[in-house]
Amino acid sequence: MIKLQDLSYWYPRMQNPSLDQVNLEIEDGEFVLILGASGSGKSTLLYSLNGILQHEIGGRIKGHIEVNGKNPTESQVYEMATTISLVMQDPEAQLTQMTVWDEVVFGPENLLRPREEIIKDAEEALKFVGLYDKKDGIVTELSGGQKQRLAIAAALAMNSEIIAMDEPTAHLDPRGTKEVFQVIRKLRELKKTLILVEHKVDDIIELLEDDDRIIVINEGKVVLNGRPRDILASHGKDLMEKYGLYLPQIVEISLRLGTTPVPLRMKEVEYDKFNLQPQNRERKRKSYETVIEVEGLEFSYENGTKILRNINLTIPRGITTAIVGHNGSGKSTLLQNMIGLLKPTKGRIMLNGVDIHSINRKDVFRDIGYVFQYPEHQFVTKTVKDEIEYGLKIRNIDKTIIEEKSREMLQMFGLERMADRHPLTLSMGEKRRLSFATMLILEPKVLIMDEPVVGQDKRSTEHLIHLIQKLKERGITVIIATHDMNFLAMCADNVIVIDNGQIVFQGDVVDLFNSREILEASGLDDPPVHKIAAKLTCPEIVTTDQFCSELVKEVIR
Amino acid sequence: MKLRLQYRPGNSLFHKMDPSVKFIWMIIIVFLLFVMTDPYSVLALLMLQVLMGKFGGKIGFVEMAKALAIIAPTAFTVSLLNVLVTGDAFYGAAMGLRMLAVVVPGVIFSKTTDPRRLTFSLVQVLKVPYMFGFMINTAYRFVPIFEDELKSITNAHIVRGVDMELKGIRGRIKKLQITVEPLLIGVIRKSQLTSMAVQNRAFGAYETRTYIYTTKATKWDKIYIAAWIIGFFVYAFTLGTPSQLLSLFMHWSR
Repeated sequence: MIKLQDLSYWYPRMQNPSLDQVNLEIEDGEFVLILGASGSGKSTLLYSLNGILQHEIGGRIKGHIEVNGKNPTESQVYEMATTISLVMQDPEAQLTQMTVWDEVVFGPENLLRPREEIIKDAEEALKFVGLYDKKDGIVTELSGGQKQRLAIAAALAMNSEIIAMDEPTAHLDPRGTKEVFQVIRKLRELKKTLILVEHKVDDIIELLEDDDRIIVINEGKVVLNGRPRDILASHGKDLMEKYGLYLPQIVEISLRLGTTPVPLRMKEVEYDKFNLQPQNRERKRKSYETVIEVEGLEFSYENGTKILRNINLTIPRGITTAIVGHNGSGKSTLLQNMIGLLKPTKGRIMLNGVDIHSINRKDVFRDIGYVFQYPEHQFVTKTVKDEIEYGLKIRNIDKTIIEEKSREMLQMFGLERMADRHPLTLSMGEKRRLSFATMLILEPKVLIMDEPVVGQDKRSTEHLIHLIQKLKERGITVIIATHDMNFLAMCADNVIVIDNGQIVFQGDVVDLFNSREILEASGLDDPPVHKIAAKLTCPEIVTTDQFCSELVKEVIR
Repeated sequence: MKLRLQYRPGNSLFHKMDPSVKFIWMIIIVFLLFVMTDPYSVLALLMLQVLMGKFGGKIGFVEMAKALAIIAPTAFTVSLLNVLVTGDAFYGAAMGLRMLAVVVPGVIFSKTTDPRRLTFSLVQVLKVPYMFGFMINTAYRFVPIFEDELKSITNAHIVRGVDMELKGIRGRIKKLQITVEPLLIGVIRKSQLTSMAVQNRAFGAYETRTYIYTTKATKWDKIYIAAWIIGFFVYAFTLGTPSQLLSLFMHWSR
């Protein structure tokens, strides 16, 4: 049993607590989902349970924690490891061995367990997560989903009574996410205590049973704690509006349309409640000027590994183009080729009709802004303010203009209070916002964003969508690489799907979501709202906003 | 550089040899080169090792030459400087060849040694503390990760308009100045995360740990190393200059 009494925690050098008088009890064998906006204290709570917070990170802690009779503040992390195993968000960070097998046996070896017992447990754990056939494989060669399954196998091999998972699918594409959730579904059968922090509510809701529990954390406090139906159906509006969280799309639709009872899962949707007629809306297809043109692009790494094959595409000016594909499909490589950071093995890239490699790099990046997939890689200074101003300082812009613009950016991205903090001390969502600010201050004509919504909560994603809208109004071309289908549906005008280094689709979101074969072959999936709309013979509806506005009209009629 | 010295799985004699034995062999070669002052002996040793690489490690001559190309300019400079300072072409040539002869066993070692087997062997055969073995393992794993991180940091500067194609010593120093700090921060963060991850798996719970994979030096490994030790002494006290090595030991002991 886990028991937290008046638990408060302050990170080193922080004035405000990240956990604020948390009182909580979790029974053995429970499945608990923790929801909360970015920076609300979800991960901090998990890290307090195995002592990492107390022993590795430092800071100040008050109150009492008991995890199956052990106190993680007094016990060392390795002593807690037999009680609770943690699966972290970043697959790269938590896997420390070279091969799959070494990773799984590493923990039990440290516990001095007998050799035969370790082999048996490790084999079982790998079979459980479906990685037994890859046991001799190299960890770095696994896909994101496989890496997280491996992390779960390593946790299982430890034989801990509790498994805590901190957004294990945050960096994964739909295929990887599905793989991990299938494993979590199986984990339930083992009757271990499972604590899961997760943003992908549409997927996770299908795993929850009525007697499971949802805990909502906001600004370090537990604000809601109850059964899924109670939390989602009765407090759904608060979750969305007050705490900035996503609801499962079917719950959101139901609450917005006021239909009862509120369905939680796809199988509970009563389609006859929506009396719809098939619509034949004509979608206007405008023609746009071309800003970037890619012709016959091929790219291979030094060792001969071919990443991109015969890519031909055009990026229209002034609208949002999404480049979609699963992890490792070649999206980032394509983007880096498109802006001249990588040199194609074959083919050429034209920016405004001129070969990009014949233009001075400085001039290329006067026109193009690039927001990296991992914001940490982008930060090069010691404070948030310096980071925002860095690009302008390089261009020798007048100090007063820099001050003025930096103030504007800090305000626009809600970073004023963090202006003097080191960029790496920000939460994931804040880091993302900072990386956008560092680029937008340079006023690019083309803004490229690589996986911009990974690890973002609803509020941050909506803020980004609003921003993209504003950029579009100013005629700025936006290019996004993403595997987030909801985000895609909400902001992309033009979609390019890349699979195994080749373009397999070019068109709009509606056409993509209605191309089941392409979605399946590319490891993608349409959002639940589209699935429902398609069943209601309205396959052109791709967002909850469209669903609610269109259907309300129909219902009223 | 990464590809030229990267481990290549295989089934050659050197692949099968225990990594600690290969490690000791490399040290013997270093000592042997200390007692070799004439370039003919050094050249003979160099050629012997290249042949051993070819037939014992399946490392082709071209492949070896490519790997040696990394050190060749330095070896040439060392030769030239020694010739200029001492006026002795023989001595200069010996010095340059020594550098190459030190590198060849390193190439054979890196291309035929599975890093993971090396750490097991260091801990189990040479009885190195397992924490040290883990550090080597982690270093091997992190080198390519940090290479990628350095690339990302460089790209981050480029997209903000910094000229990262600076040439010459000044340019290199400037590039170093702006990339080292974020890279170091990245290294520290990664180390912290790794530390959290391994503690989460009970690393350091006991003074020792169980090993699923065990390794030990075979009879042939022992014969191989014994032959090199005998060869060393025979050469040192017949054709070599053992006083060089003795003076080095004296210097250390002081």
